[in-house]
Amino acid sequence: MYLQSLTLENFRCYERAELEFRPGLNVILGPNASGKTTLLEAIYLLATTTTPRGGRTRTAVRHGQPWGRVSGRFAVQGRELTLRATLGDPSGERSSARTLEVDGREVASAREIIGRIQAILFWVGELDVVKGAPADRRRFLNAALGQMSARYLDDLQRYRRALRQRNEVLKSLGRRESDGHVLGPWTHALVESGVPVTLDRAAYLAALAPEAAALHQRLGVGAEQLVVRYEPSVEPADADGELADEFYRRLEETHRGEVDRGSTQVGPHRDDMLLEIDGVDLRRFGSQGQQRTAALALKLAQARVALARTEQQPILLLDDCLSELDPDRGAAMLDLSRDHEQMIVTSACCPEHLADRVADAHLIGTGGEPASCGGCATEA
Amino acid sequence: MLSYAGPIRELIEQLERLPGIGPKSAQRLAFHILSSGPARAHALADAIAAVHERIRRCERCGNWSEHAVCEVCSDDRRDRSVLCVVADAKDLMALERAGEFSGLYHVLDGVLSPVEGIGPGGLRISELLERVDELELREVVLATPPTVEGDATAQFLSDLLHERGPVRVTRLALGLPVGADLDYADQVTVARAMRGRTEMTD
Repeated sequence: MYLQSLTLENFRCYERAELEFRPGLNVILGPNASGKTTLLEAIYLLATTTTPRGGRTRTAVRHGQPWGRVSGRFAVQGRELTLRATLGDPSGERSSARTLEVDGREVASAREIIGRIQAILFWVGELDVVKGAPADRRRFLNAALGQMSARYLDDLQRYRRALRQRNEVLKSLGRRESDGHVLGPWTHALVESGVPVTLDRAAYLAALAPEAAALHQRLGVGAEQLVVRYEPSVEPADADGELADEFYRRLEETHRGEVDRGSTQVGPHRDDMLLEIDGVDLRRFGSQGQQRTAALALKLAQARVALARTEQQPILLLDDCLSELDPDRGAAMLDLSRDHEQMIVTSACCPEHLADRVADAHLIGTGGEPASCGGCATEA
Repeated sequence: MLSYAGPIRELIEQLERLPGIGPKSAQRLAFHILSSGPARAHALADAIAAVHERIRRCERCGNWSEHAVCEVCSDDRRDRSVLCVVADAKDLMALERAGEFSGLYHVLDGVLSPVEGIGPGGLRISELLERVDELELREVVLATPPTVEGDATAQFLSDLLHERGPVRVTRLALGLPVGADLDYADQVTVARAMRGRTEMTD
């Protein structure tokens, strides 16, 4: 799948803009604060109906305007698909409204859009997957698995509800307001939904790890070896052990502590993901450059795994990666576009040493005007 | 600012308290009632009053009924050895419409939800156990909804029933829509149908 054209109206700093894209490598060129990231955000919004900045999509409407709109025309397996998101209400009545359309037909729920276009965005916030808290890494896993599997999302939602209900019972046990037999069904619900969540994450990371290591090798310099490994809160002691049995055993083992604290101490809500280079834990000791390259490798690996599982080539959106990578890594990253149907990158300037890499690329200015690499290089 | 005359305002406020009715719908309904004449308004008011004067809970199963014992419970042709437990009376009606079940029902009045403060004491569980002791049951069918809370409630009841003695406890199956092709069903439904697969016998 690839994006053919994008139209923005009253979206962040844009009053109106129309941009054309091509399959292959697209480079959006523009100075700082000219709206490069906003273009990637708009594409991401169409694919996922959410903004990577978090919070309500309404906040993306151009300041002082009652509504904003993003439309994109995509090519999906030879067919055209138009997605449109209107934030706010053009009549000015319901400012919190959000309207989603597929091929001109309004859809009732975001679920009808999610998954039609797969987009993978790498931007500054993405570094959290490496240096952030375990919750940031779980968020990465949930988003990656959720984009591919509605079943995973269902299990995850059931797990979260079971966890909330069970914690409430634990609190009442702590206050001696109820007796132990009311906990049983919630423990059962927790294990029943927690087991498939754990197994899905394990299988996903088993597929992601070698891809991430290989991509890291291509992006990296020298022989640094990236190791990605699942650190599940509950895992069977031996290979033949049943995960459900182990989950029950660990819950029993931690029962005193969970009643004291009023919250369940073991389960997928305590999972983490190990990231290591040559035995050094990147989460705590990685240099900025190492963390960045590892995060980029994880994102690119996510695209590879999505392709293998759903047979759909996700669109890669990479924000401002070139400036932070040294020339060799930058060139290696652009070379990866050959493996993808479409890759859209932003850059403040098109560096001279990459001129041959972007010779065949589609260069776009932030207003949609054609941009040239030469002009930018002489300016620098 | 001009506001509506007292009785209209009062009617709008009352309608707004109904589930699914917002301020605009309440206003539309109020003006519809006002303009459709006194006869229809009285008929509506009488119908609303009558459900409270003439409808009560069946003293056996908890279903809504015009009599002390509801139609199902007083029907001699029903199979008194099978009891189906539902979360509320709406679910009972859904099962009755399907016409497949000929046993008795028991309405729980909800499902367990500690977050909302609903524990076993908040449901009609002691009444259920009394009936289980009274009736000579072959089977109890647990038909609470397939949500986390409905499943946990079924699990809780199943544990409770098994503790009390030998009775067959079953759970409503969930899975594929009838007549549909497998490749039309959504992922979640197919996965759950696979998990809940049943043994085939010869």
